[in-house]
Amino acid sequence: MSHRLLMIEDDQNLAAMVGEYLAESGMKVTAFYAALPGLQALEKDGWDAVILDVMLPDIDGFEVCRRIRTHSDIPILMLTAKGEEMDKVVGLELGADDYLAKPFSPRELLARLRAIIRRHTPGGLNKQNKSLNFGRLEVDSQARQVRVGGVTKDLTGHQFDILEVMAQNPGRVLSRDRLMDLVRGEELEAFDRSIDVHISRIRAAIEDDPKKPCRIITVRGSGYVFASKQDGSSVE
Amino acid sequence: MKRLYLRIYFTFILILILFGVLASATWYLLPEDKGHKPFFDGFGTVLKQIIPKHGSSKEDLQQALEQLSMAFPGQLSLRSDNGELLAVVGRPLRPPHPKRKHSGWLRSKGRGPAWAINLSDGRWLMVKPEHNSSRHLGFLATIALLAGLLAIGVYPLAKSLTGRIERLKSQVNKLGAGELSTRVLIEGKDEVAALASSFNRAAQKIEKLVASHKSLLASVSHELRTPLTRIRMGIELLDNDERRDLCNRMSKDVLELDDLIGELLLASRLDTLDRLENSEEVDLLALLAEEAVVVGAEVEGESVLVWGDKRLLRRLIRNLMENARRYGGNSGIESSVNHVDNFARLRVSDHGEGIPQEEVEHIFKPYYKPIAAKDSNFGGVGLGLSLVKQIANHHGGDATYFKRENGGSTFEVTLALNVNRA
Repeated sequence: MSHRLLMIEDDQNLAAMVGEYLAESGMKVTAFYAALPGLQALEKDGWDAVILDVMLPDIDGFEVCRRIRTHSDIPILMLTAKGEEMDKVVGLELGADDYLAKPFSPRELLARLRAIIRRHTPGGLNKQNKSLNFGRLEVDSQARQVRVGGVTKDLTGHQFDILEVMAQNPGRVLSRDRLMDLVRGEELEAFDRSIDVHISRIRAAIEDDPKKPCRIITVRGSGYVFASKQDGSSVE
Repeated sequence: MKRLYLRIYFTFILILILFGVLASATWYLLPEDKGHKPFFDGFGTVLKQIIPKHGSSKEDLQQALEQLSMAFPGQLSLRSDNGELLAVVGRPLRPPHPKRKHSGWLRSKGRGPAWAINLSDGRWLMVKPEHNSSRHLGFLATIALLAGLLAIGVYPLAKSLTGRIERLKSQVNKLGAGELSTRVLIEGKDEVAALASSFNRAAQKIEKLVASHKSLLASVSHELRTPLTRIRMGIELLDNDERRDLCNRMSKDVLELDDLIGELLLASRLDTLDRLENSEEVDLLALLAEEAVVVGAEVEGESVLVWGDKRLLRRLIRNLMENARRYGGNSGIESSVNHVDNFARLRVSDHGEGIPQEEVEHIFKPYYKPIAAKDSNFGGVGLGLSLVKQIANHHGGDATYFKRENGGSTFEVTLALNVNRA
């Protein structure tokens, strides 16, 4: 399926490269180098998503996002340079669906774009029930599915429950007891004995290298931490 | 604190008192006004006609003096040239100094204030005009009242003089506290008004400078990172199996460069930041565990929640881990988080060679690179540890270094548990 993307980015070379890269995955990118022509083009139908840079020659990218949201719920992915106020980008205040910090990896750009387009597709996910995203990992509570880079991974119901609870508490040390309280599985006791086994199964499914887990980290003597920052190699 | 208006006020009061003292002293000490002399001498000649001659009976003299006292109410004493009292009304008055020749005021204590009139035959008549003592008190009271009124009246005057300076002071304090839009109302046209308008100009410049600094940081970040993104994208588009190694190395270089830009911008931002912009509850142990995974460090301790900027704290931990990885000699990194009193204590230790004693005091300074790192390819610009300290300071804590007994280094960071709560 081919998607049509509208990109507003003042760096023409970057826009061209993004276009070239995404074309390989069947996405057609039309680039605009300033906000106003981009907004104008957006008035026509047929776009699947918007890639929006924050720093633009005419209008601030945050403002562009706000204007788009007044009349459209098209998925928006914002490109920011770290150091900009990214907390505002996503969420209610601006209504962008996701953001990527420059310099981003093209593969991650593709994965994020796919995720926001899929969430928006009619018959796809309910917007109120957003899935949880951590880098290339996507925990989809609605469909009870977990995807890494867009590829669905197999997990049992219990394992998904554990993963979901962890993903809802990123950056917190969760003891085994606390994990059990949060999951409240029906087969609590059986679950108790095998929690470490479940964790290793989940790791096998979602970690790039299960021997060196980066998403679910063991803190000896305390429990597990679901990393709040995944697949990002540098600090914001 | 000594208040300026109080000093002005007390200076004024002091001047008032000094003036009174000096004026009285002058009256006592200055030579007599010779202009009165003819008047007194003439008066003496007249009196000589009225008062019976030298050698008359005491009764006659006494009677004459009493008559005189009807015209001049007060105390009168008539003395011969050798000071003998010839007649008296009221309390006897002491004679003038034996060497004195001319009529005039008697001012010395015990004698005056009284008139001494030379009757030009060697006799002296001393006259002390009658004082109404209650009037005297009334006069003193009036003076005191006037002084009091002056003192009260001057107080608001002194206060209004310095009031504008105090208002200026409070505005300068506001500016110092970070309210850069603070301006002062310019009152009057004097030096204080000139100071106020200089302050306003300075404040405007500072506000402009800080704003341009902020926008510069944002645009520098953007301008540098957009080409980096192109490079990264180019590398991945190039990516093929033959040169996979080279591509991976180049990707790493891009990320290192990105990290460097981040450090430089952060150092510049932290310099001007006086309080944290984004604060939330952060689980330090979890954060430590996340970053420990990257360098394969051991983690132990207890879950400690601190209030702080998660991105900055992650940067702090990452820099410590990175530092230990660089200089720790590949022999394992240990890290821990604990509660200690009102602080969270975070430690990162390695088994490297440690830092030479003479370098220890420099390691937290910005752009300082250890001698050992200068000729090797350790990378970095020497901002890592200075950022650690800056971030710790912004979280009400500090960073310290100590050598381990069995070799290696320990970096300890303390973070306040209950400050910075926005």
